[in-house]
Amino acid sequence: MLLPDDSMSPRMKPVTDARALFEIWAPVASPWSAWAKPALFTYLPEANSAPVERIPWTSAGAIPLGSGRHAVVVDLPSVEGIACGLALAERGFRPVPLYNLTQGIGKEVVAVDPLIAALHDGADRLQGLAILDDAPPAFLLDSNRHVGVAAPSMFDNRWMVFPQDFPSARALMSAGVERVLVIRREGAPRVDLLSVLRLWKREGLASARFDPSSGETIDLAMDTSLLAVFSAHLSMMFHGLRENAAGGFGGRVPVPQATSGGFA
Amino acid sequence: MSEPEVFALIVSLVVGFIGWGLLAVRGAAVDRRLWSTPDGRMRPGGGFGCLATIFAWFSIGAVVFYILLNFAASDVKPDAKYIVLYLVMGYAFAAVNTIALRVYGWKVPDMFERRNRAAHTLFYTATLASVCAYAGANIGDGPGFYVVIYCAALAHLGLYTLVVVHAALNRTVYRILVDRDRGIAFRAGCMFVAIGAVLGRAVAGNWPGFEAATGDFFRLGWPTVLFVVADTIVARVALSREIDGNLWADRVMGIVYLLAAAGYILMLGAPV
Repeated sequence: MLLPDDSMSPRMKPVTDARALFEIWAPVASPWSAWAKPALFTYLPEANSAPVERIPWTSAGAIPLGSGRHAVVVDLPSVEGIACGLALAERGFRPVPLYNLTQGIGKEVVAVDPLIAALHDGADRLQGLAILDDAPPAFLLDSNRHVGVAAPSMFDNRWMVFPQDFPSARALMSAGVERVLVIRREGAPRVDLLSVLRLWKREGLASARFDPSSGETIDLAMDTSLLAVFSAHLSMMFHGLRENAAGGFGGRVPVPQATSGGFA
Repeated sequence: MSEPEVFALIVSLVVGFIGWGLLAVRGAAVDRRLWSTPDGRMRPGGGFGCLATIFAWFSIGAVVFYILLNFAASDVKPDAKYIVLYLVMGYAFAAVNTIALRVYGWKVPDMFERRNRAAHTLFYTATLASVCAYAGANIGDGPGFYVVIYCAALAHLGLYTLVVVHAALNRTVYRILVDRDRGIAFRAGCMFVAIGAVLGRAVAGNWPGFEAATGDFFRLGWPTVLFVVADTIVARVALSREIDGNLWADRVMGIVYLLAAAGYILMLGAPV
């Protein structure tokens, strides 16, 4: 298991309550905490879980933030997103975890344990940072959120984001945000994130994509017509993912019954 | 009760239980899992899931029950079986309404998980609009339950058409669900209630036959278009760059819509 590089902070205290862990990642003082997703924070890593290998996120210094005030959307795979979020926290951003998946019975399509362990482990490092209350947000996503095939008896916890999972462009701009930077490696953003960026663009908030592998930054051009918004709205309505009755995404894929039908 | 009435009762029970049951279960589960402490107490901001459903449930029951006891057909008022049938049908229509709200863009997590107060307002007012439309269909004498279904369906169809037109002309959905603007949610919600009430009045009265009932619906219900036109103008004139920037102006406009609807209904007088 990979986790962000970390050193023991003197303020570090072991977090034993899932809700306390949520309070560290989404403190009441931050205006962006209202958007943090609590679903993943209802779990704590098991005490006897395997030791984790820590990785540094070295590209943080290369992120081209320029002189203006940015909001960041981190769309990197699994724990790399959390590692990047913590690196951004050191640069004055408030990481806002938007992981909206759950655990359940059966093999998970999207691995949850590494994320839980990384959030738990990263909380110690986050507690040691003095992030301003009005710090700009860095929204954390897993770019693998929609990757994988859900076979019968598996726990299908693939998930997606909706425009209402993010603050509006109006809210971001009134907080001084001038531009949104999407940190993503694998090509253009997925359709769910794209629909969020499209609505922001319609409200006057432009976005760009930064690829940490190549160090390249590309302005994101997108169709902002009403037809594009409407078709995205329809595709979001019929997303085909399994919502969990207790919040977040995740549900067991039913096993087809082997029955014999017809007349003997 | 006849066989078709029993069938209508069973279908309504199933639709009502599925719609409202799933909502209640989800609200309670989210409250328990996400917003409760390890010792079972509710965190600040939690508890909305159960309360939202219970509040909506009682509101629907109170309005429909009052209308049935006072304005329903003469053979319905004294008969508990029919009161139950039409009450359960009311819950079924309101359950279908929660599905229609999803087309509008509203999602259950907007209330329970995202704790968006504007989405709460939208849900309550849209439910009340549906209840008003359904309650009107229960006023007056008629040959059977199918005319209540026809009139309620007609009123709901009109309501949904105008809501979709309003959504296409304005950015209200975005302002409510993403901006979480409580003022706009209240104003738009009051407009939906006003439309629901007028359309409910348009289908109220003694049953004159399908053609005449449809004619009455258009003849008496057309002023609802004015609400959409007025709110589109208000939305464009009073467009604020701030979230909740026009909170009080929006609240006043919402009440103006309700008063206008009440005035129109009073002007029409008791349905015949």
